[in-house]
Amino acid sequence: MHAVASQLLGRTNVGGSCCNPAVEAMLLLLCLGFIPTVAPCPPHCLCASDIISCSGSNLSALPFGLPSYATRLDLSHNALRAVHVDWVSQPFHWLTTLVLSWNSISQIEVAAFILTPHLLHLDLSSNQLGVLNSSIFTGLTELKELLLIGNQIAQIMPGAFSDVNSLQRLYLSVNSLTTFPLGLFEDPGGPRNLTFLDLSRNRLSKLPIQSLLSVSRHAVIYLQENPLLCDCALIALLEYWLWKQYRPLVDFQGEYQCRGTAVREVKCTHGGLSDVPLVAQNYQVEPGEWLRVPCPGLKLPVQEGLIVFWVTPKTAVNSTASDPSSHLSVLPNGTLEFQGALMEDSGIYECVVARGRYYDLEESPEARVMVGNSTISSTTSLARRSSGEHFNTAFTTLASCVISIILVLLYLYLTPCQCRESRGGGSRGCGARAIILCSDPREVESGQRRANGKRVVFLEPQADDSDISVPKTPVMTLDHVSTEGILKNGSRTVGHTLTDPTHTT
Amino acid sequence: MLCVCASDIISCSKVGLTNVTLDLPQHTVVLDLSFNSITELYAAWTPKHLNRLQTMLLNNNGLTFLSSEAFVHVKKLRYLDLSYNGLILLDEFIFEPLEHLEVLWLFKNRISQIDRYAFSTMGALQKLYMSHNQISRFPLEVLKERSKEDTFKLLDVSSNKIKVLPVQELQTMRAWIKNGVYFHNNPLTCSCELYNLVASWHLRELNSAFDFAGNHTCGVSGKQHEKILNLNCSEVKILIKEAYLEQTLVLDCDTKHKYMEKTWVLPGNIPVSSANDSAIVDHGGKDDPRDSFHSSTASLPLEHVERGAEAGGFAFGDAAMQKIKDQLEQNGGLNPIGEKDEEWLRVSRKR
Repeated sequence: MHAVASQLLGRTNVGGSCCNPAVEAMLLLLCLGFIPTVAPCPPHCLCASDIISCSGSNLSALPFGLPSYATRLDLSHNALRAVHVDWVSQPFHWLTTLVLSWNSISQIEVAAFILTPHLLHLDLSSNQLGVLNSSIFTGLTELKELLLIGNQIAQIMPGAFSDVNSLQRLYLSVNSLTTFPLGLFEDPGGPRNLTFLDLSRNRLSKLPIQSLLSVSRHAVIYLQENPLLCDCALIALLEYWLWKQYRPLVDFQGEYQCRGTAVREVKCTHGGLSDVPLVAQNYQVEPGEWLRVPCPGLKLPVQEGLIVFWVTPKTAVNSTASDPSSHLSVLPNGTLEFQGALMEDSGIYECVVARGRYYDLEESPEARVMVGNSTISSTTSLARRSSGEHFNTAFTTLASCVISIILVLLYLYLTPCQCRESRGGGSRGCGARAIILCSDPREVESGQRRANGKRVVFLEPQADDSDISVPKTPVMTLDHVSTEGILKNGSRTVGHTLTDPTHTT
Repeated sequence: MLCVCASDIISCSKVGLTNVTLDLPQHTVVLDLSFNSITELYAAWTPKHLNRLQTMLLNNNGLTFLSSEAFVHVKKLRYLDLSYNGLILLDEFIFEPLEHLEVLWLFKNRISQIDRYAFSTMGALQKLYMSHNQISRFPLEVLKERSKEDTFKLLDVSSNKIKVLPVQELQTMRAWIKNGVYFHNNPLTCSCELYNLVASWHLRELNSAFDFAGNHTCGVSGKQHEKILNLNCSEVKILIKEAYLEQTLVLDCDTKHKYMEKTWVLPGNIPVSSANDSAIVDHGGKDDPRDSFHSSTASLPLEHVERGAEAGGFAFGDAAMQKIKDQLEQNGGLNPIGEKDEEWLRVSRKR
């Protein structure tokens, strides 16, 4: 400590003389206050600027005394068994990435991550976690990405993600989950904005279809290579996702299997669905009215037991579960019923039911509902924007342009102007700055008429007592026209003739 | 295959790969090939373009040869890990396709030669880690090229074989660039110029000097391990300006973090505003002080400043981690720093 202090003193004193009482006071204060101690790099680790890498060193215990300036800490490919509460002894304020993959971690103590509160990326892949206990990730309130690939996770306890509010991407593939972790989306206090969930290669069989329909509006959820139980509801979901070009389905279509059978080959036993091509329907209703929207492409009467889902702008509903508090419900025959439409009900509604086939590109199971005078902000069918709007905008622009041009031309050509030989007051009779040069009859006689008889130039109004040194000839002369023109680059040129080849306009 | 496949992450770590030819799906975003025995990488490692690949880990492979076409099919790469390998030289072609690369890890190789154009096409490069190699020449051109972009953050050439630092050039750079230039653990030649640089960076609490204070060593005629900060050179003061009455003094606020909102304070903690005529603040031509990561200068006409008084420049940032205060001292007279200790100590010494 003394060495550090004297290093710091080195800046105030040359040669180390310190007989100044203020300096001793500072020394004392420094000793008592925060002295940044620079921890050396632990053995088996490499410390490079803001990275510490202890990867591949066969460590069975976490290195003691890791420097706390690191933004990235890599402890992968070791033999760690657990993450204890005291795995670091001081807070790591700068740590944003922690890699603990390819170890043998089977236990994470609660509050193990309290001292790394700013972590953004945590990789615990390829370990031996079997269960995610409650509050296991306490302290990781800023975590955005969590990798738990290739563990043996069979259960996620409630409250496991209670602190991880900022989580956006969660990888849980290659684990042993049997139930869909709905708590990730529905628990209060959990992730508020989970947009990416990878549950591929688990043991999921039964899925909560309605919740998935609702959640998949905002999140991509990967479910390939699970032994899914393919009832008509699941088939409805997969058909719908495929129609919506849902990324997880587009990328992994071939890997969705129903207990070993490819999805395509599973027939939904509730037949009787019509093959009528699906066309989007439009409905207009006044607030307070009741509305019934039949499911497009669904032939009535409906098979017993068939569940019909509707995806609404806010959530999803289905024909079996009814929410008494909601004014929206799905009748047993699949029809969506609005018991008193509200303005905010305007939007696009999609009927999701197993239709036993892939949809053609131009087909759509949509029903567009407009309540009152509100307009629908369409997210799915952007091409349907009313062409009338475009036309109006274009017409207005064109009309105003044309009118402006007409006005300018009127101003230029209809303002009376007399051709005079003298400058000065003559210019005022022709509008502010424009003078139309009239052709001089003498010029015609001399045969030096130019190709264009008239030119439009912008001239400065000449002051009577101008003392411009360059001699100016009158505007109209026999041989040439001398103008004080303003070139493209804004510079003034005086005395150029219009025949001057360098005079570019 | 023995690889572990998640949805967009493919991990083939420690699976014994040697010659690599992988037919990877187009949606792959992260590819982990670390801890294998891939000693040479040719263009054929992937037959197709992988336009969504952002991260590629090739560390710990004993890699000694990278063909000039090795990364031609992965142009959208943002993070590339080549650390812990056996690379010896970096030619101008290897990284040419990687125009989106942001972070490049090259530490713990055997690099002794770097072509001057090795990184010239990497317009998005933010962090370049090259510590623990055999580099003998400080790659100033990388710093000069990349520091023109506002995104550059870090150049690590620590633990190499560099003997000479371009001290003058380094001192002209902005504080937020110096903050990320790590050069400790090199066999530098002792000089008072070097002391000035290290001492001033240390005083400014720049990460590159502060975090590794004990590791800045130099040598005189072969004998190493003299701590630079212990050299017997003249005192370094930072940002002390002397001026006389009736002059206009221009003070610069050069912060080690970008995007700081900067305000100026006159003696007596009077904030500077256009209302009181005392000073004119120039935020580098930008209206929002938050935009002025380059500089914020205050011009003080000195009629009203008392002798020995102190003005300050404070920079605040939105960084969740901390607030940073940069203090300037401006002396009307010739007071030695010693008497100002109390004032100076008020400023927090926490980082």
